[in-house]
Amino acid sequence: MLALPTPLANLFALFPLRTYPPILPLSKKPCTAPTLWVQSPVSPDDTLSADVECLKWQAYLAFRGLTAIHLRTDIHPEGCIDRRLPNLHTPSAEIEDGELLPARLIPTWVDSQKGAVDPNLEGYTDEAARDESRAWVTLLEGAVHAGLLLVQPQPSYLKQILAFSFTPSLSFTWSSADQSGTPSSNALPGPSFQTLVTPPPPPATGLTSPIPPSGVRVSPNAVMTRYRDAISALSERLGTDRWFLGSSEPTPLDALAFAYLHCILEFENDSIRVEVSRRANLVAWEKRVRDTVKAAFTVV
Amino acid sequence: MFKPPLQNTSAPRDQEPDADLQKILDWHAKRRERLLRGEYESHVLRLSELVNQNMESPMRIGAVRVEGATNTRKSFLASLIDPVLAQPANTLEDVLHTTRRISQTLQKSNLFKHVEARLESSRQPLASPQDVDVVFKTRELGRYYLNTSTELGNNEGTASATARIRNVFGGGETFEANMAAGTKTKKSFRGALSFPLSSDLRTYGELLAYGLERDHTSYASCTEDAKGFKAIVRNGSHNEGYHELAYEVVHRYLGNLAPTASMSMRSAAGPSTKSALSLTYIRDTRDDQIAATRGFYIRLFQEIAGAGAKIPLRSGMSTATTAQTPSSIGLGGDASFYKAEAETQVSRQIVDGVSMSVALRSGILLGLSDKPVAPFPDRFQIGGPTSVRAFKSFGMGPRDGPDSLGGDIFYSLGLSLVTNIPRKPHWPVKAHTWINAGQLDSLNYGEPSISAGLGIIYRFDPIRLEVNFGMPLTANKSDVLRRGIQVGMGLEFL
Repeated sequence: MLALPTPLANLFALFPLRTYPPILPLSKKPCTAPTLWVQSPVSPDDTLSADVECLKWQAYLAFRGLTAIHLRTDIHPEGCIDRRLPNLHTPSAEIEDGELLPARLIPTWVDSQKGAVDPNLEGYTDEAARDESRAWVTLLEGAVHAGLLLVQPQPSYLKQILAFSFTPSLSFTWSSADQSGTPSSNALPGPSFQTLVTPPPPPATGLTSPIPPSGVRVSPNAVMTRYRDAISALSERLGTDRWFLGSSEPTPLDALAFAYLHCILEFENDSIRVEVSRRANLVAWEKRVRDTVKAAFTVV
Repeated sequence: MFKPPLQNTSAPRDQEPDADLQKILDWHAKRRERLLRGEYESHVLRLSELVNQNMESPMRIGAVRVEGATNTRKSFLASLIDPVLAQPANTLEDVLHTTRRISQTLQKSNLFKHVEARLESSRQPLASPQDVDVVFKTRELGRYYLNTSTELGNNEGTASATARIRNVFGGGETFEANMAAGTKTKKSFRGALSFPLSSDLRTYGELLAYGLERDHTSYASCTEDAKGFKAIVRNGSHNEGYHELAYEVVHRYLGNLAPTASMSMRSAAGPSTKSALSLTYIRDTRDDQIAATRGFYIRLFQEIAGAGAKIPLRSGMSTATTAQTPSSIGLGGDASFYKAEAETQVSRQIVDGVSMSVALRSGILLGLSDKPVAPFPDRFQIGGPTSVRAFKSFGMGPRDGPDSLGGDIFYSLGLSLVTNIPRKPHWPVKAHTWINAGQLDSLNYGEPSISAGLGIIYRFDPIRLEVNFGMPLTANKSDVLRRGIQVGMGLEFL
């Protein structure tokens, strides 16, 4: 590095001769309370996000006993860390603007506020329940998510042409629950049928066509059958329990199950919604949990 | 008896040299040339006398023929020529004026390399002896043009490829496609079709589709992708100035945020759409961009975007399922604002070799919706070597952490004294000393940031290169300063 000669540096330091106060942006609001950045709810006065991923973290925060969390719905995923909602903006004594946390760091922050949970049991009653929870997570993220993806409206062709860096609609996107995973450097796309359906479906155009392989060829019936089976199994497993897998306190699985059930019940497509709405225990459970989660948030 | 050596007895006429043979030959060549020129001039004089004496003699135009315009539509040529022929031509004088006007119109159409007019006796079978045909012998300009170039300007370097097709549909239309990759504007494409709208060729229309990717990482921690369409109607001439009415719809996407991006930039990230009508007036009568001795430059720009008028719903119209928000009409898009900008520059020679230049730029942006601020790409940014010197590029105005957020109101004022390098007035290098002031804020009144310095200008037509040594005299604490040496490249400087 080239250093400026001292006399010159001293001369430069004299300028500017007069300094005025800084010009601050008018639109900036100070961060006074933990603020969760989420995808917008279906209706403006609602506090529950329409996105599964965001709603899962809302439920997680509420279940961990946090209240008076502010909610911001005006941030685009592009403005978030890892280009993915939700992010948690927390006030900080050291950093003037507060600290912005990606979703994967939320549990660490909650642990610092509310004390850590037993890392072996993760809030479940025993190790068997913890292991079983993994299977339910896979079922929800696989079969149920694929069902939602099937009926999700596709963005218009015009919108795809217009957008330079097109990001697909966020509803029902779902990242891996692996919270220790490395951040993805890419903007969404969320999971597609290729990753959700087992075995992976063949491409829509294939070896027999002159067009290069593209798209996916999924059987809607097979996806819907698996979806129906998954909801039915979920309903049976919950039974009349207060929380899934017989826990006395809400667990991460409850947060995930609530996020999916709420989104399904809010969804316009009848074929998807009816599977949940005809199971009284799931509907009642979702309604009870919804009130708990709602109470923890206020829109700013 | 003659005895050599003989004396030269010829009387020297017209300073004929008598010694050197080469000089004698040169003298004769010049003399011949002079004689020819004299002969030519007298012929011209005789011809013009002949024409002048017969100005009033009756003559009519039987037909106008344009030869050599193989790629130009007959209907287009007719639309150019017919309005000129509408004025009756009954004498030789009228015919000559009409011919000149048609010739000017043809040259103005920018389609011909060469236009030559000729009067011939009319070929029409029913023509009277006074009828003449006006024949234009033309050569069209090349239709296809392909160019690749590397450019430096406005503090960025660009490599570009341009393809142009002239007279695409035979009606004076020009299609131009351009692709470029650069340091700040990472990549861009532009396709434009311009076409004459009026027969006097004063009004042109232009349809433009463009896309570009700009890098704002040096001052706003993000990149911007824009894809847009613009329709322009342009009227005017270089002398009177140009009026431009344009409609533009553009989709912008702010992304690729740096990990250190401020919360304000994070809020601004994502897509936004602007649908706007704009009106621009540009007039440049300067004889030189750096040291003009006469003329001035002015640019006035107004834009209205979005501006939806809210229509409240009647009570019967809303149902349980529809939201109770009023619908709106307007241009559409996320951005809703009124923007006005003015830019002017005047320079005059004060003593021989020294000229003074004054430049003023200002603008205001008023939000027309309930959103407090206009989208980031629409806000003003100032500072930098082509703006307020001794500050970093876009380093002024409202700031959040590392990011210049842009402002809603600004002015910048520049005063410079440009001199020739002593004893080298013909050099393209000039010296100058300057004082700049500017302020950018969010509809607030504050104190101006002022800087002063001196430097050299290198005229690298049409681009100007400057190396300056400057210091900020007053500054806001949020301004990013550039003390000492600063290099600038661009077309328009403060």
